[in-house]
Amino acid sequence: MDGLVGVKYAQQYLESTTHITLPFNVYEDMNQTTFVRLDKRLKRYDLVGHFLGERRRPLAVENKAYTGVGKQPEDYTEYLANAYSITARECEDGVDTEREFMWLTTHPFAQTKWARLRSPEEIAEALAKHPEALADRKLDNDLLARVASRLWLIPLHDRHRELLLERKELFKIHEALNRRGY
Amino acid sequence: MTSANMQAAVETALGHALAQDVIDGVKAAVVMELEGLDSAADIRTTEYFNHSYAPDIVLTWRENGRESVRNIFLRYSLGSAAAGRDIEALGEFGPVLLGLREEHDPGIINEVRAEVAEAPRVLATDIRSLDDITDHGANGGSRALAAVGSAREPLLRLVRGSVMRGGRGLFISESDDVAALTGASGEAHDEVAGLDAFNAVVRNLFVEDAAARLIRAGQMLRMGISGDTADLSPSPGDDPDEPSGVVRGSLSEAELMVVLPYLLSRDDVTDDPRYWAYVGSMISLKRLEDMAAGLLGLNLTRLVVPNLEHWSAARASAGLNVDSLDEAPTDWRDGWYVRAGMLALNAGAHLISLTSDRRKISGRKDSAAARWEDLAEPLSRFALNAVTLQGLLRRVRVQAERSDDVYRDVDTITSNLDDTFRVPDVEVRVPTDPTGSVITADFTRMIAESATSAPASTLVRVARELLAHTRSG
Repeated sequence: MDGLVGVKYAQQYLESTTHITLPFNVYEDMNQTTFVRLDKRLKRYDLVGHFLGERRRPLAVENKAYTGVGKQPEDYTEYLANAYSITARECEDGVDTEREFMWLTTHPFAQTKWARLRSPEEIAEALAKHPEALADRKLDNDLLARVASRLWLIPLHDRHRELLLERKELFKIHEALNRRGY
Repeated sequence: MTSANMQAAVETALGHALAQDVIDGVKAAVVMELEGLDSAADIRTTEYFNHSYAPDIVLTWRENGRESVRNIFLRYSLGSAAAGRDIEALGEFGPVLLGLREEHDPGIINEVRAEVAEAPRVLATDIRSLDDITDHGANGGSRALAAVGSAREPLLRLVRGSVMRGGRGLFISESDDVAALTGASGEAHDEVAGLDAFNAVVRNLFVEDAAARLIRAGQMLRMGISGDTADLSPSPGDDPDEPSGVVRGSLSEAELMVVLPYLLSRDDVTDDPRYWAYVGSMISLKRLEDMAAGLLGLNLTRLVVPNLEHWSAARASAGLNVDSLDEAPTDWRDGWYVRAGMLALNAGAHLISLTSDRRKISGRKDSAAARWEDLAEPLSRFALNAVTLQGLLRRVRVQAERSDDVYRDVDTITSNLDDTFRVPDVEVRVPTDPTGSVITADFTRMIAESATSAPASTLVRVARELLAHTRSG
């Protein structure tokens, strides 16, 4: 239940931006939150949905509830390797879904290289640490750049809750905004 | 699909590989569930699924000329709604939070129960519980099956029609309130106790208007089945026109359509005319005609007779009852039935039809005018306003201005003038009719009518005792 409470809050925060819808979470729908890497390993995300708008870019969210740095530096490296590997796998299967990947965390980490955390070089380093994610494929620089451009890194402090529009307010403006759900 | 349960359909949809197939499949199943509950409401799906503030489905309907809306938010379970604090966040708009899967954790159910207690217009329910009260649920062998045939059946139909529009609170099959509402037993000896239990919990599970209508329907069924009509007795100081102890107002047509045929189809429902007068006070002749299709084949005598004086009608006719000529009628009985969208009285060889809409009875075109000697006796029971006399040579109209000398005048005319007179029409009043309505009895068309509307009892009496009488033998 605690995990579900956490992802529900993350869902509400991201949907309150009015640009995103995240109907699936890992606690309630394993199918829709599971993706396959090049090496056929399965990777689950906390929240899955898409951006509103014509392109409906798909979005997979890792939601991290930490009170300190924790294991985030290591986990984030694996997250980068996963993002590349899953995208490469989808491209090999014939369709680049243009899926975006988001790391939403309650505590910052790796501040010394914070500005580089979403760079192609950082993804390449992550793949060097997790070579199994490439499953013997050659690194594709073009794909590295594309995946990097689709990464999100968002620190979310608990007090942010107090700044959110309330859902009854969002309910009222939702119709006026007229964003297409899908 | 209608004979399956929607829980299974939802489960199948949730197993689809593609996200859009999941969403489309789940919504299709939920819409089918909602249509099964309330076929009169408009059901619109949105472009969102399981969103934190955009509803999945919007239900709209018209009631008393006013449009009402209710938003339905789908959640994987009510536990999910609790984890998202949805009841508190969305409660202001009185939505439905609909769990796709059953929540099994008693602790979480208690949490939801506590939250909905603070949000009095929210309905928290799940597909499984809605399955349990729908037709397909009953056919599928759910707990509702035992209710078929008992008074729970019409009440369940009313609950079905009301739950998405006016339901509130925690509506899950495991809850004591819902168990009392839907009832486990349809046994006769439990029936009245069951109706009492129903009435006791309705206010917990429905908002004010919907609760009042359901309670009224429950009271109506209880009084009819138990024969205990003490609540209909006026107490000192009460408005004599309003029965005391009974929820006031009237049922909607949809609700009457459920309760009335049920009451009329049960022979063991009380014959007490006071009870049927109470039932009839919630309906007009016009509304009864509007729901005629649902009353076909039912003997309406218990309902009609005590209400004829209170219902207004425009026209009545008398004709030959062709059914009475059948040598071996199978279900023949005298009394009131629905025929051709109108109330009709099977009275031996005669058929008396009654309507609030004069267009429904055009009457015969070439019926013979009556003979005065056939009319003299029955007319003595009426106040005679006017008589038209049609002879071969002349037409005479005799009108009573102040006295009932009309009889003598007619006798004088028919015996002294050298002509053969018949009576195409008369104008009469029924002395006991407090409205003093003047009725024209037209023997050439076999129609009794008033210029405006008249008590149905007055029109029926004229049709039966004057029009039909002239055709006796």
